[in-house]
Order: sequence, then C-alpha cells, then structure tokens
Amino acid sequence: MSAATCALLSSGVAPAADEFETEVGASSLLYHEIGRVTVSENSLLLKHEFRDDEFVTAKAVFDVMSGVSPSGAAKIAGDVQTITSPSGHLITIQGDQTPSFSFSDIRSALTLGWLKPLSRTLNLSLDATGSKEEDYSSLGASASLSKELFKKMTTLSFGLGGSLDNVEPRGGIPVGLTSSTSSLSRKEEESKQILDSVVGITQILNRKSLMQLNYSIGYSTGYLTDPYKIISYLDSATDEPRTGDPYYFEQRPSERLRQNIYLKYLHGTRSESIDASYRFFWDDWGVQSHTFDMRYEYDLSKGASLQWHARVYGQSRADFYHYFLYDDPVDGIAARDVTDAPGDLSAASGDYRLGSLNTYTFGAKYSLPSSYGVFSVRSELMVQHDRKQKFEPVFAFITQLVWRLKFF
Amino acid sequence: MLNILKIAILLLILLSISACSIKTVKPWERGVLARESMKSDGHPLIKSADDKIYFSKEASSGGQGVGGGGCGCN
Repeated sequence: MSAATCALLSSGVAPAADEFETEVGASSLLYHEIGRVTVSENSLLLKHEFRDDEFVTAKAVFDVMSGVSPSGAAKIAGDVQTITSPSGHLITIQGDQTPSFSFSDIRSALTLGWLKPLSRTLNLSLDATGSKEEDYSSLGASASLSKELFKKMTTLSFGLGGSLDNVEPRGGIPVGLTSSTSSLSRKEEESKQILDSVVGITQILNRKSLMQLNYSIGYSTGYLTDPYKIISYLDSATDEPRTGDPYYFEQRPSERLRQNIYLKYLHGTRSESIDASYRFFWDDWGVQSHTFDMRYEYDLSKGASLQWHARVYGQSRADFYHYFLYDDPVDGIAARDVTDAPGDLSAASGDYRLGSLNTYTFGAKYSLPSSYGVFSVRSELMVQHDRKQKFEPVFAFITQLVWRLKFF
Repeated sequence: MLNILKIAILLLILLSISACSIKTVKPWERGVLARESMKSDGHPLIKSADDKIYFSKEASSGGQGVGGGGCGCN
C-alpha cells in the first residue's frame, strides 16, 4: 500500500538525474500500563533508492517487555485465591484483586523489503519478516501490487501476505479445558499459519483531498490459543472457585476468518491537514468492532507542526468468551456467564481482550525539522474498559521519540 | 454484515463514478497532497508501533495493509 501512496502523491519535485534518495529513521517507544505491562520498543529504518524509483528497505525492531498480565481467572470479592503460574509456581491473590501472572520477554524482528516499478503505472512491493521471542517465532512474507489510472488520480491496490508462526511456551502446550494443575503430558510446541489479503482503491478528489477504501480478509489456522491463560470454574451456589480444579486452561478454536472494511479521508491545506478513518471488523469468532481514528495537524513557526490524535474503539465479545465457567446453568444469571461443563465445551476463554470492551486514545505529536532530520515526540493516553465493568480499566501511557532523515 | 458490504460496494461504485468526473490534478498542483501528513499509510515507525499496540490489546487487526510479522502478544 505504501508503493501506491508514494507513486500517487509524487509532487513532481525530483532530484538530479544521478541522485538517489536514502532515508534513515529511528524510534524509541515506551508503553506503560499503570500497575501492569511495560514495553520498550526500539526501531531502526533504512530505505535506499538504488535505481530510479526502485528501493530496498530494512527495518529492525527490538522489544523488551515485562510486568504483570491478567491470567484470565475471575476476580473474586473477599476471598484469597491460590493459582498455579505457567512456570508452575503457586501465586496467592488477595481478595478483589485481578489474578495476574508476571512475565518478561525480549523480541527481535527484522523486515527486508523491495519496492520496484514494473512500468510507469504499475508498482510492486515485496517484503519478508522474521521475528523471535523466548517462546514465539514468526516467519512471514508479503507482496503488494499497485496500479495507477486516470493520470495518477486513482490507484488500485492488491496485497497478499502470510506467516508461519511457532509457539513454544514455558512448560509446554497445555491441554485446553483441563485443570491448570493437571499432570497431563504436554507437547513442546505448536504452529499456526496466517494468510491475509487486501484490495483497495485510493482516489484523489481534488488538489486538497483524497479517499481510500479497502477490503481485507484473513484466515488463521493452527494453535490460536494463549497457552498462559486460564479461566475460573466457579461453584454456582457460592460464586466462589469450586473445590478441586477451580482453574482451567483456556481453549480457542483452531480456525479464524477475519474481515475488514476500511475507509479513510484526507484533507489538507498548505498549513494543516485532517486524517479521518473508520474501520469495521468482523470475524467468525463473533467479534465485531468499530474504530474511529482522527488526526488533525497544523503548522507552527519555524517549520514545526503539532498533530492531535483521537481514537475511539468498541468491540463485542467473542462467542466463547466468558468471565468464568459454572458447573450448571443458574437461573437469573446472564447466559454468557453460564455454560455447560467443560466436557461439552469446544472453546472457552477468560482473556478480557476477547470481551466486550471500549478503548479510548488521546494525544499529540510535536515535530520539528532541522538540518539533521525531522525530530518528533508524541505522547498519548490510552484507556480501556470492560463494558460491564467486570475488570478494572486499563490506563496506558504511550510515549515515542522518532527521527527521520532523507538525503540524496 | 451484508449491509456493511452493500455500503462498501456502493461507496466503491460512487468512487469509481466520481473518478471519471473529477478534474485531473496536475503534478505541479499536488503540493498539498505531498504533505507528509497527507500520506494514506501514515508515518511508518508510528503506524507499525500503533498496529502492534492495538493488536496486542484488542481482538481486531488489519484493514490497511498486509505483512509486518507476527508476535506472541495476542
């Protein structure tokens, strides 16, 4: 899709015939959830033109992640809970606290890309990505074609991508919907395969505006379960963890079909611009979501600019998401909190990220150009809450420093 | 679901029709469109970071492109 944009918006200002463009960039991001997860992500980007309009790109990313993450078990008022962590340790959870597991991990990723014009109006973009974490690895590739029409007023795009991922969790792959203290033998690793495609049209409307409309469809198969998540099994008479086997490993379906409709509108003047987009997502797990995103940027003195950003997101829960499981249905309890005994279930998860939730993000980015490149700093607050307030809201601060330099 | 697809197809048809009636913008008139903030795929280092954040915190993903690699964050 980036090939489409670059070709579509060329302003006609070109370097000398023997000069090729090189772009370098670096970024340092800090994501911090109050009382939970902290992620430090550092990236380096290189884009080099080695032939007319033909580029090679390289991007390296290094993440350090640590903190505590909700286990999927239910918060129980009053009572202390004792839960077995993925590493086999017993953890005591105080009453009215969200049962969480601590973790730390490092992720390294490298993406190599190639942008090549096949003709004056047809561009090809290829890239390959490999990433490695302590318990997860991924190898993927993608290809995109963009075709310009009507004197570069319209661009049709098509992209296809896929990856082969390997999950190798600490302690092995648990058997889904069995007790978290079970001694059943575990496989060391599992794999999953992901395929994505997108078709889109980008249309310049006038000298100041353009629109983009995309449709994407993706299919995932294999091990799609989170091996570290558990779900509480409560006694329906007391609403407390039942005696014996109160925590089960979650289990998700082994297939997932995902679709998106995405619409973007961009409008600008010489000193400001507005970027508004809407995405509708749906899949065969029962999740539906709406995402509204808006960025408003305006120029300040000395070439600096300020961009305000707001994002509003809302999703409905996956069909197999439950706050907890019961032995038997209980009158008066909402159906989604009640289910049959695990033996009759094919999937169940207490991972709140599959639940009914809203996410709100608000922040700003300040950019300042200099002879050493463009320096940007952005700071945002993200708030996420369960629509039924069954878990505490998540407050996260996002701060990112970015530097980009283009030269010939 | 079907309604959303129908709306999307209608938008596509409208875009296609309007493409034929829109006055061509010459290369020397594309100064505003060439603003960094007017690029439809956004700032690469910011967009990729945001994509990963929301992929790991929400059940939805995608919509703009393909590729980018996987992670164990979701």
